[in-house]
Amino acid sequence: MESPKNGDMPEDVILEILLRLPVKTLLQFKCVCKQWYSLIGSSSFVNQHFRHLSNQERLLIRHYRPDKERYAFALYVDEIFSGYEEPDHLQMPVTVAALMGPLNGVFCVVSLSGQMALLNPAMRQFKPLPLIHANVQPYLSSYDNLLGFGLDPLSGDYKLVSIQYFWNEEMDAPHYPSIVSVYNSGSDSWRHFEDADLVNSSRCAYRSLCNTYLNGVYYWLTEFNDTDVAILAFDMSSEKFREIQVPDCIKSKEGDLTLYRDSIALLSCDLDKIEKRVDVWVMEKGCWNKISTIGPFEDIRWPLGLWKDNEFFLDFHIPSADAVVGFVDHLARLLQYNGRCPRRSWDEILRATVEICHSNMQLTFDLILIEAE
Amino acid sequence: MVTTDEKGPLTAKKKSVIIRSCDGDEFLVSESAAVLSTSLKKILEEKEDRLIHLSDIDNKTLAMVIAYLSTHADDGLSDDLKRSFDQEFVSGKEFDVLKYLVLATDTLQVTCLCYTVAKKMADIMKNKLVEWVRREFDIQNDYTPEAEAEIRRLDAWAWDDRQLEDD
Repeated sequence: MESPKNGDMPEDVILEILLRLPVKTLLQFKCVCKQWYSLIGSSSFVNQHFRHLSNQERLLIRHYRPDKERYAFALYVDEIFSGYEEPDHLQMPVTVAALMGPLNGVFCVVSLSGQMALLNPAMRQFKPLPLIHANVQPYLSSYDNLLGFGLDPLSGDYKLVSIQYFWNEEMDAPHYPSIVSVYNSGSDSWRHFEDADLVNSSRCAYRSLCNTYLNGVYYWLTEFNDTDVAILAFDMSSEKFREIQVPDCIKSKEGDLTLYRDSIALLSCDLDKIEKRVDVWVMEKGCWNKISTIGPFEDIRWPLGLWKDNEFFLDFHIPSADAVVGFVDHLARLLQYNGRCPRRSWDEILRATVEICHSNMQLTFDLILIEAE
Repeated sequence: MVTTDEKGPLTAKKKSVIIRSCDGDEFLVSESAAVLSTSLKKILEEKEDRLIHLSDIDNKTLAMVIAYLSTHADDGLSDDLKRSFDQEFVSGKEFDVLKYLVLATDTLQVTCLCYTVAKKMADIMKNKLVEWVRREFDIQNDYTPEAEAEIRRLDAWAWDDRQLEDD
């Protein structure tokens, strides 16, 4: 019997094999033939490959390179504090001020100059977005820009919502209302509108600990009338805002929104107490439940986020090390901290900013790396 | 000639079916093993005939698939043992053998074996040249040299630092 020919190999079998190859190999195998090129480039293949079990665990890390005096980005194949492999360095064409995401492996990048782009680090694709051109009166100046990155679940397009708060220079007062701009990757353009009810200068919205987008909706924690707290939600399909109330027991505490599994979560902590505890509230079916309290800690500065299923990222203050970031599990055992960072890439004591994006999580924090020897 | 698999005497008491390869050899297989293949299960549901003829699977490949099915139908084996059997099953096998196997799993619709073989094939292909892939899958290069160079240029980074194998 002859060896099986290409014609004998059904496309679904080829697909099963290609789904198990790394991105780099797939980009090379686009050259095999036109059929493989269209298969590998198809959006259904891209989605299946991303969701495939063996292809998910990656970390996007930002760190400072003192030798080159700039920040470097790298995509790691394993967890940050163990099992280091030679990082896959990314050439970022702009100086990055903020990273949002990832959603299906894609990040939204905001540069220091305000330029925005979509980044797919595994494919090394960097797609600049058109500039926001809203008709703004010359006496208005933008003093804050709140962003939310999400997907339109109906079309599958990436969407970015930008809320710009303006200052009226003539009257020396905040301008009312704000301008909302929505970018749609399908049309590669922005749509602008004003929202006076929920988005205005009397309502202060906070950036979340991670990209708090879930099932077609982006969420921000907001404060208004000095003391009132509510969640502002933006529907990525209908492009409408709505308000979600929070229970009183949350209102009295300071907190930050984040994601926990498939829910919106609020991490709150009373920093005035000596023994600090972090409460984890989760919104399920419109109700808030306190699912966990970790601590007490004496030296925590602020909770930074959640790691995997039941681990927390905390910003500690330890006098001997100035600042330490550690992982803590739900029993508050310190699992790992930055004393175990790789020495191959950073072989001296240096100050670095590390940005970690894992699944739906993104954290930004300052980190002191200490070389053991 | 009827060849029984290793567990023949034990499973003989249960219902069995005979599967004939394209070379004409016949294999006695317990029904519990056969029905792990979605295609065989459908055939058995539709007709009483206990002889199934597979016109596009050769002796050697069919024997391997049946060994796999019999192991996975064995209730006495733990999932861990079955997993290590799977690893052992594909390790060291030539790419050519894996190609026949993956085609057989597609015909017989044995999903979990298809995944195991596809993974093994992907592991082998990971560090191979495009030319090697074309040869192994007997694929005609339908690009002009200019078109191929253009694709390489677009994702130049993917080609930069690797030692690719041609054998």
